[in-house]
Amino acid sequence: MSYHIIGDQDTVLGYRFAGVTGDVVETEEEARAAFRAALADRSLMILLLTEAVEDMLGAEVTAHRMAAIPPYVTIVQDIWGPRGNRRSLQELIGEAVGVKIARNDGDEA
Amino acid sequence: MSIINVPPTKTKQLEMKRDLATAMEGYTLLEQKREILVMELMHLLDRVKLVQREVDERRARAYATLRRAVSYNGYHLMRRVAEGIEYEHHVEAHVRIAAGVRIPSLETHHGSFSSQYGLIGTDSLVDQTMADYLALLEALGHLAELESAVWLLARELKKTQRHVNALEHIFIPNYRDTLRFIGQALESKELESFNTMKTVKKRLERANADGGDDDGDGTAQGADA
Repeated sequence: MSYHIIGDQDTVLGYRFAGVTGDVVETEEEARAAFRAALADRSLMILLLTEAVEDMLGAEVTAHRMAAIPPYVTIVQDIWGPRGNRRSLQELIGEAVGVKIARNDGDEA
Repeated sequence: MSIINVPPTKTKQLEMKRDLATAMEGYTLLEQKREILVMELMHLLDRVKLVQREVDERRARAYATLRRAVSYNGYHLMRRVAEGIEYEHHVEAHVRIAAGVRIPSLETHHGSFSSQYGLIGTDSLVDQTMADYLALLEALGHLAELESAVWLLARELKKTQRHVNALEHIFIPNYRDTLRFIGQALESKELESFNTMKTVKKRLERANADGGDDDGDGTAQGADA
């Protein structure tokens, strides 16, 4: 058991088909409890969180990311579609580097 | 431009010169580290774009298949099938160190599959769902690796940037100013003492020139007293 997902019922159902164990959470307290339990589980390597859950947990997720220990967190979209206004990885890099590199990738040009 | 509050002495000057040299050395090193981090991040940026696109595509496909499968088979059947599915996934983590940052690299293996329930009574959409989600999971494994790497590198870069800025714009100029101030203070002190010496010398010379007189005067004064 290396993958684990915390999210709403329907999103979790999908990942069950790939053999990912999951916690179904509805409220912030449930999410927090599930997240902490997942962090304590040594057998987990990759922890998937839905966007909704990430929003519920907030700074706790960031704090765990900085710790650089497993499980490594990845955010997945809810099955109901994106929640919008998310900072993508590319933006994170751009912000840290402090320069925007304009490049023609062909498909974006 | 501000001056650190220290006594303008020779010892302090030497001490500060040494500190400034260390600071300059640290600054060069940090600047190099910053460049390495920027390069690492730019390098990752290309991979992030690629993997992100892959994840988006696979996710869209998997989610669509799941919706179709649910609408054909009904939620409860899907639930029951899902309960029985078990995969033995293996993820191995190795840690790579770049510019003092521990970056995890993950290796994922999808192990054996076993299902408690027979697949009789389910249609090909269920199989398709499993296949699509497995593909998605693989891409997510790559994303997880990149995501943690980017977060860690970005944080380190911000920290380094702050250190470099502090050294470049505050620490080093302050030390330079203070050293200049100490230099000036020492110089004026030296000049002052040089002048004093000169005056003393002049007085001594004058005293020596009319030495006898002086002596005579002294005894005369003493006699007078």
